Amino acid sequence: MLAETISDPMLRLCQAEFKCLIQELESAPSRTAFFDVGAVAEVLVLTNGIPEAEGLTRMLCDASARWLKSGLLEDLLMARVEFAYHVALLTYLAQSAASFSPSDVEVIRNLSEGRLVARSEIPVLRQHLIAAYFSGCGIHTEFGQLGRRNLTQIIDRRVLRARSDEFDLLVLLMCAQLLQLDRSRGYQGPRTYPQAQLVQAMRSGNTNWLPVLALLCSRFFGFPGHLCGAAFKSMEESIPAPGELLPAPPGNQIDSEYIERTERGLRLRSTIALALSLALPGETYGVEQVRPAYN
Amino acid sequence: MFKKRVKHVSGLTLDWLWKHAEEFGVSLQPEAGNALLWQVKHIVELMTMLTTLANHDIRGGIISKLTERALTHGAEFDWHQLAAYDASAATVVAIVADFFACNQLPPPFEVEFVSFLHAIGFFEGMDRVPFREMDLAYSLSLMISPEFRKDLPVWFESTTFGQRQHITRYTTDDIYSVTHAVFYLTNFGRSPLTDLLDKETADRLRKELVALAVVVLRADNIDVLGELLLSWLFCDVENTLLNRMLFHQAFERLLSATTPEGQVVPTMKLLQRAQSGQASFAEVYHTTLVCCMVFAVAAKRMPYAG
Repeated sequence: MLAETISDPMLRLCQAEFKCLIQELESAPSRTAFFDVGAVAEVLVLTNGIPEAEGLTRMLCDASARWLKSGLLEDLLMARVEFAYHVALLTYLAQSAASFSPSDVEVIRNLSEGRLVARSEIPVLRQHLIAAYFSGCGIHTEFGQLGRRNLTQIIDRRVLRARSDEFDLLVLLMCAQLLQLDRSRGYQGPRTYPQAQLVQAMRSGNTNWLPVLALLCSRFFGFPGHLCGAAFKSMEESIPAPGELLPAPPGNQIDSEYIERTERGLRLRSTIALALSLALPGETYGVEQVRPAYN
Repeated sequence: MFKKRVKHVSGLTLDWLWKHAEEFGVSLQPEAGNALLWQVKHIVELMTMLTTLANHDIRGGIISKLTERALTHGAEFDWHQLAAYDASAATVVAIVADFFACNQLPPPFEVEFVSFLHAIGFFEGMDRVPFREMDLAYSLSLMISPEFRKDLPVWFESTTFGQRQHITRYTTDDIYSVTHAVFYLTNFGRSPLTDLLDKETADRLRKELVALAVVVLRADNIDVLGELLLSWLFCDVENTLLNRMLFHQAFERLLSATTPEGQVVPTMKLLQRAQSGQASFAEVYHTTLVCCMVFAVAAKRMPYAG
């Protein structure tokens, strides 16, 4: 019932929006459109095993394969160091497309092995993620050790900071990707920080972050019962009007020169997360599935 | 002749810095917010220069006056507020503590508070680029334990240079990564590179510095060229005929970017405005600090005097 009345129409809307975004990037590649696609890809890559996400994921993988074959991804990779993370992610996803051929990765492999790309100064967490995705494509990239540090510290200690912005959510999305790729070098993943951010999103009415954090906590970082119920209730109250996406995060600032976030991508990725969260089995949230109509 | 010019221009830059000493002070706005770190940037960079000069035994009347002024400014600011607000403040408080120590004074903040922030992992809660991780390790080596110096070569492996990026692909930020890495690895010219790096890596780094200086010489960025020459001096790049010629060419570029009043412009495009007194303090102070260090250290050591 929940899927039919709320999730399915919401997902159909997201598919239509995502199709437009993909076409826009193909017809007139731009920095903004690329980062918007990247923001959506970061959520979709974490939805393995959720049947409702398959249509969107297939669209993304097929588009990635086309961009890899056409040379768009390598152009972007050469153009700016800040594109490297999303290029690595899309290159990895391209492998799942029916049209993919292993020779499509050759140019990116040569660029990487020639040390022409992905060696500029990149924040450490992103370095590891790029290495993990490239490794999944058969491209060897080693970015060195982590000193005395481990990733759990880098992430969980962020809870001590007096402020947060979109970059904090990005950190959690990257961390979840590393966990999924099993490249976490033995660490168990943070607990404190994701849950603290989830509570903060509920308290501040950040309806954009809430479904993304709920998805991350339910699938990667742990989701204690009391938080599940509260998160679900908050999401239920933030369901957008039919035909609308969730609003952008309040403020929408980012404390990093290495990524760009625009409203379109963030609204789309969060609405996808909301639709999928609502479609997940009821036991995930531990509440009864009786929701208002959405169509 | 060359020595005389270097000493003369070194004096000019110091004169300009003294003339603008008040502009280095902290100016707190009511809504400090995340701008707090930027408000102390000027004074902390001045302290870095003064500490470096003192550690190279470079002294003088204006340096003493600047030091007194910086100590006064430093004692007036609440560094605890900054340290607790921003994880990247570890660098700032370390520089301040080092500057005060170099003047035989205790830090103008509670060291225990900074130790507490370190103990709870506050400074580590940030996804930094590798050379900023080196920055943190260097800061912790000054404030917490010299043991943190051992992390420097480990993080260095993850930097652009450590990753052996192709020379044609260096961005300006990548070049700053190399220069800052040299500052930390050599303890601002007080330790040989081979203390922390193997001979092969140290030799490769020296060669890369020369190549990057040539690349930047063909561009218009005096600020990064100044940092490269400073790194060149700190690393004891081999004194060959070719290197001497390149060093002199680069040095001439710095001299040509210096106005008669002693300010050094970051790009030649700004020179005309600076010469007519229209360049702002914010536009020129950093390059002037960097080049003041280059001129002063070169005047003292004169390794490539022709």
